[in-house]
Amino acid sequence: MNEAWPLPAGCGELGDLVRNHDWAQTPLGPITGWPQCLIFAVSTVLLSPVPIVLLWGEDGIMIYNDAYSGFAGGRHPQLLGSKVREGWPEVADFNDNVMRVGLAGGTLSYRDQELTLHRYGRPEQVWMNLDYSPVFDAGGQPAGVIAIVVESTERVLTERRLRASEARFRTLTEGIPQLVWRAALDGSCIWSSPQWQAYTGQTDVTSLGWGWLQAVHPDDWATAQAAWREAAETGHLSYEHRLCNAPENRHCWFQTRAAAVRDAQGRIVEWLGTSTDIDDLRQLQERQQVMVAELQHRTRNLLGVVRSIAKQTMAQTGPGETFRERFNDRLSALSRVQGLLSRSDQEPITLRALIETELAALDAPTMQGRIRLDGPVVRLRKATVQTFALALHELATNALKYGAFTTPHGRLSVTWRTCASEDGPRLLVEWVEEGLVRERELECPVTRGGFGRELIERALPYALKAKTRYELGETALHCAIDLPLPAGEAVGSHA
Amino acid sequence: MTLPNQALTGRRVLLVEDDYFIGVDLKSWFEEGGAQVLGPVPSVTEALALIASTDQIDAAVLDINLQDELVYPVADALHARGVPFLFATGYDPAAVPAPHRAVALCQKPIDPQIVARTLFG
Repeated sequence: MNEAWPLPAGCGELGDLVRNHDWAQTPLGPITGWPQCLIFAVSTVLLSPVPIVLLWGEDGIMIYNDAYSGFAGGRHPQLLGSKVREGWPEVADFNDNVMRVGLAGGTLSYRDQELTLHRYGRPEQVWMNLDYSPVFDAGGQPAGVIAIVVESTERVLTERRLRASEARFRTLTEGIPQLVWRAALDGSCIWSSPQWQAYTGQTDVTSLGWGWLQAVHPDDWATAQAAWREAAETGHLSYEHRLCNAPENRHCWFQTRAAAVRDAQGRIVEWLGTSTDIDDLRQLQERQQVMVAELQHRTRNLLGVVRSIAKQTMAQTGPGETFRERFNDRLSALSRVQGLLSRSDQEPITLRALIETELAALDAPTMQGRIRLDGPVVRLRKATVQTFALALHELATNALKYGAFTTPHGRLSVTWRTCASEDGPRLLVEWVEEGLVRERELECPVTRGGFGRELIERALPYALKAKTRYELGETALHCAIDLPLPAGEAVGSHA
Repeated sequence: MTLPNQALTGRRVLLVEDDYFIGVDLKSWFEEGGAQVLGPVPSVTEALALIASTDQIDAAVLDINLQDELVYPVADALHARGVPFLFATGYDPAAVPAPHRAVALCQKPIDPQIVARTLFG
């Protein structure tokens, strides 16, 4: 310990090391012979809490403080008193330049300078903020360089990770089909994704603040505002609303959800949200509701029809085998028409299909050669199909049991055509059986015409506003049905 | 179905129903109960014409869906004349629009006893 040494108190661990170092072995010589300017510079360095190294003389003999010793890592304490070129051989060229500039009286400054150091025996990539300035001797000549060395490696790496994370976030938010946005506590927009802008036609500026609300359907503004008020209390945001699709100029349904972004104390700092297109889903649900309602309506109506048919069949046949047979036949006809109706969305029901279905149900393939069907494609409205099908069923059943198909030469011709009238287009159907034998009529348990005749002469006029004619002659049956053809019943080409 | 209902005797009941079979069924039941049936008619136009040309109507039973048109104009006309009526329908009550929610509703297939009780207590 050199008693003459005038270092102030508070120079730390390095103060002691500097005092006790054998400086005689260095170009600086024994500490007692140091010039005043060196002593001032060393005192200043040792007292600073910032990592500083003093590079003295041509060789840059290193004298540094406690803070720098931490930065020097495994190099400390051997570094003290060594030449900078030897102390940091891996960055010798860099320091050569520092000494050259500094001893010429210049200063240097580097921000986040990237260097590879071997502080712990292995290469290590580091970043530093470096500031160099010259120290002058009593004669006004540069005698050394003061280097303030602040390592920024941790911050640089953190920033890089943050940038990578932000890039991933952006890739995600800009790649997913959802519209993504960030909002402040009250729901005012801070940022909107390119998808939001493409969808709504808003820009990154017009969507900000409460600008985003302009893209929401005005009828849903109250919903949106209520959802945001509730979110402030519950920490959850979820609501459905319509959003204007600018390119298509229409509103579609969206589901908007957001997660609260919280700080370390758990306080909400902002919201990260997505808006998902659920328009197709909503339309499907609505269609399904309509379908279920229609199905219920049809089913309950059908039960009413079945009850009525049972009652009327019973009134004609009385209880017994004939009732069972007749009633079952009519139930089967109703069942067939339900089948056609259930497929009618994909496959519109044509008059020809209805006639062919009823004739096929007779299960009399040998009759096919004796049947003639001819007419254009006429699509029937769903509401008319059931009554029409029941009428055709009665005609077909009667033809098999009592009419044209009971004789070897009987023939059936069903022809139809459409025509214009004062009240709009009409459909004319003619059902003609020839080659009948009247005696059979008298044998049949239920007079021909009973239920079938009621259908044609009363039900069709009632339900379909049809004008009908039912003429049973000695050898022929002539039934004509003339009904209006509303817009829903399209007429196609001849088939 | 065939139990006569004293309450029906002499009542003039309008029936609006687009299905022929259900209409006939309902008519026969009301007639068996001693009521005088107006209709049945299958469309809004015919129903309105019948209402306009009939002085006394005591009650009405209305099917809601009449071959793709809805019966509500008939309901309005009856309401304006103060005629009690009910809906007979296959639809759920929820399908009835707000102005007509208060109207009594009978699910199909209709139980005539319930219809009579609802209309004439």
